[in-house]
Amino acid sequence: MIERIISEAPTFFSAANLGFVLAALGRTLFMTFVGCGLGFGIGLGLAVLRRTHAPMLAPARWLAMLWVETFRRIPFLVILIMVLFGVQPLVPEISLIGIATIAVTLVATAFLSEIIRAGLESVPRAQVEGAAAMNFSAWQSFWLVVLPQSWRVILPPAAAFMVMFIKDTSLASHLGVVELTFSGKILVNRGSSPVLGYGIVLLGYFILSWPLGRLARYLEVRLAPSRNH
Amino acid sequence: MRHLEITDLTAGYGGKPILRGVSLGVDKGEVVSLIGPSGSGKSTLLRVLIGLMPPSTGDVHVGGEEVDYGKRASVAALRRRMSIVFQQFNLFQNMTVLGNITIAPIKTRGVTPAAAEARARALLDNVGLADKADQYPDQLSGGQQQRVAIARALAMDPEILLLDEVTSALDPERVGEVLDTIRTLAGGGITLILVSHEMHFVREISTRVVMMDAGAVVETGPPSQIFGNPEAARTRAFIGSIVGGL
Amino acid sequence: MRVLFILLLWLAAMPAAARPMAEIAASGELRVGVNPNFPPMSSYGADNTLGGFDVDVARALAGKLKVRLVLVPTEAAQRVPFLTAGRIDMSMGALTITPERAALIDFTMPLHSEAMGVITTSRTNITRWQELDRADITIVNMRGNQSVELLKEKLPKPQRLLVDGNADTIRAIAQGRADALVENVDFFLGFTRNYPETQWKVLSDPIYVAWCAIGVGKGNDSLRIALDTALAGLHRDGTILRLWEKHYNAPMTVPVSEAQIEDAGKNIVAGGSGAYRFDFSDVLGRVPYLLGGAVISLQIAFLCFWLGAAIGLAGAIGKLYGPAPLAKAINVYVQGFTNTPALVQIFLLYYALPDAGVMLGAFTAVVIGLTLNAGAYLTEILRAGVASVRRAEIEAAQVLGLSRLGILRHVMLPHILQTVYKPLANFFIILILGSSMAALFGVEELTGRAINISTVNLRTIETFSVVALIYIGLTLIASATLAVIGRHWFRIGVKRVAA
Repeated sequence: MIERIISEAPTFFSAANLGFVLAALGRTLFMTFVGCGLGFGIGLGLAVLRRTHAPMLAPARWLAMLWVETFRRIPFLVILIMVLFGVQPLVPEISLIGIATIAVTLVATAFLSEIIRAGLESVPRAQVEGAAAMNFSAWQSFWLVVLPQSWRVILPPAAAFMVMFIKDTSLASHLGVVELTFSGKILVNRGSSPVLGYGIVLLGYFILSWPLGRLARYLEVRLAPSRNH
Repeated sequence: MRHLEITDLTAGYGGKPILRGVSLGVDKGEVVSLIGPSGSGKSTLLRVLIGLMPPSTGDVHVGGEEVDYGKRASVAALRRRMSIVFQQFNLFQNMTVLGNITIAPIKTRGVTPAAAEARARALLDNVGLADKADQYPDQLSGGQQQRVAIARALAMDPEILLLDEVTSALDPERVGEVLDTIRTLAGGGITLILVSHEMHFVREISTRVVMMDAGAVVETGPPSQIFGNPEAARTRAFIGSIVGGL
Repeated sequence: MRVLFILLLWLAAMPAAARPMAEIAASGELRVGVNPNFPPMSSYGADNTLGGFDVDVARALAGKLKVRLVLVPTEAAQRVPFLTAGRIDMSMGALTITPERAALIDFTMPLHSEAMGVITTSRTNITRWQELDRADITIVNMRGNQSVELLKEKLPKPQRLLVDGNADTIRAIAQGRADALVENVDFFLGFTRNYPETQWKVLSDPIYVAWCAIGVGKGNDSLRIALDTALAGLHRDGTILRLWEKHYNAPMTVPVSEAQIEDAGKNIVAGGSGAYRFDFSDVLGRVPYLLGGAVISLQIAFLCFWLGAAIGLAGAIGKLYGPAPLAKAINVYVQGFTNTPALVQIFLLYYALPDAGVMLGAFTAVVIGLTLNAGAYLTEILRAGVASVRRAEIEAAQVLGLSRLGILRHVMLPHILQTVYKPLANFFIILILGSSMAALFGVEELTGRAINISTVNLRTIETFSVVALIYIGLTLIASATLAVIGRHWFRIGVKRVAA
């Protein structure tokens, strides 16, 4: 096994192969960042929706809850397959990476909306009452008082979620998206040693995940509520 | 009609009544203190007045106009004339002292930022915190935060200011500075309605004292009457129980 | 549920988007689905572009139609769905003509034959395919291939190993996971070159001959006729056979006959309209089979959870109280496993370890991989729990004269459980969902069984909707059970009297 790896190494680490893996790594990043970014935006919308009390919005609140509960209880692999077969007939032109990104968005929305909701709820009711007594509209109270104070609670777990999802996007290889894992699969199927082919993939994920994980941990420490009253 | 007229006001949580028909009239420039045992509905009355809790029945008139607490516009109009200072200050933690004082005039009254800031600095000077303008609330002591909260309420130029147990959350040595600030307001034309357990202060500052119990007004009168010669048995008992505080 | 229903109605109302020839000509592009991992039919070459027999044929066809060729990587199981969805104009990748497929798509005349033979190694001592019908033989096959169902009839006794890619079948035999592959020998021989040390053996007596053609959208007659005309030319001038020899280094076992070329278009089944109609009947009849898979999913989650918790507890204690080198080593383990995907970790266990002489079955590899992964995450969760015990409480217990074991039992454990119970319960749910990746290694748990079903009934949306509901039910039951256990035995979530 060792001899095989040593003898293969020079041809394996060619410029073409490294460029191929690097492009795949770019697609992994794309799916994660775009999917989680969209998921954050929609999740924020859902979280705000679930804080409203208007009876007229009750069905919408109920649907938001259904979304959150549903997509947190289905494996990502199953969601990927359902999005592939559900979206394709509607938008035949969409690329596979587009489909994977939609799947990431659906799941990220569900999880991030819960994280955001917890963040918004961490802001004491007294702050909202203070804003109301000072004649703030609901929107002003949310935008000027609640949201700015919830960032420190939202950001660390949201960043940690995204770092976790970098690794979950490896399942998109099953659709045929040429992301990091699939690039390793292609190299191995072409005859490369699995240790080299999947090893370089592991390294790629580590390079993406580790620094971002450190950043998430830094945010957690940095944004921790101060207690010097 | 008096400046603030409360008629037969009731309110409660989930069927449990807290205010059971409160009627009270307050004239412009008066300093009215609400006293009574805990749970008697004093703070609830202030919360209902400022529109943080809906009343069940009853009327509230301010300056002759009836307040419709179900209508946003009516509540907004009310809050342009009436403001409140909370027991826990409720300063916005994400804004500086200056930001806390200027944000509402700018965002809800269309005051220019420059004018709002000038007014805020003047108010901070009045409460003795001119040097704290750029600090955040969690960098201040409780007493300082409460003085900022008073300045913030005054920045709205209210005709009526509600003060809800503003010294209860403070360390004893910090109570005096807040009471001093309130003293400077009394007699300045602004109507003050305060809930307080500082009986010496209540006796000294009030034009009238209102004794509440079980969600209703028991007795109203000048401090000399309430503290010196109360008419109602309930008032006598209450004053007697806290006599150590006098 | 209601939104799902509305969505389904909406989907049903969508017509399939097959582009007629005129539209293809106008766009100047012919979109052809080829398998990205199927040498010598089609695969990524050393320059990382697609090449092979199918690619050359597609290029020749595009040339005759005077349009540009656009290759769309299409895995075996997606050859028909991509076509019905209109993602591609024509589908290749050794698409065998079958009645089930003919009901959904249309076929051109045959492109090539598919003579079923046996690929095995010198480990088995058989000479005829009938001798494979023994219980101690494992036959590897690919999901979505027509031969899967056929083999059940002709060879009922052997065990089956289902994998996802062409390359995986030969690797499974090379690594000793399976003994033989019964398939079109030509397609798979190319992969045997990756394993020169294995003594490959091919039994050439064909079990039967099937025909592969090019698939087009149902009712897309203009494109089908244009392709048939072009194909007839390529057959008659010998181009097809020449390309076959070029890529397979051997002539086609049974060439396409002149009669078949003449008969083009005769096997078209008049289909329904293009609109997709939902049909849950097949999958609903297989719910018991799916629930059996759910039990396996739960088994994987249970095994990985408890084994992972054992690793995690050891890791947490080692990290907090162990000597510095041990704490450092544990940290490397945790960082390594939490910063890389469990899927790739299992790939390594499953595909690389056999090179070092360690052969793991699919189930074992998945359980070991997920356990190591879980152990890393649980180390972090449990470390936070152990660290949450305040020194003051331990000191108080010492002052009261509790033994070390007593302190652990009465002071530390209750405290740790209070802190970690909820994260642990959440992690168990994550493991139930994570166990689905076992499907990609051929483990027939819930998702694996869903893939098995949908590649045969071609009712993917219906099948996976049912499976999604089973997962939701499974995790809801698990969450509720864990909440009850937590409240009952560990007083988690029980309201405490305010101090």
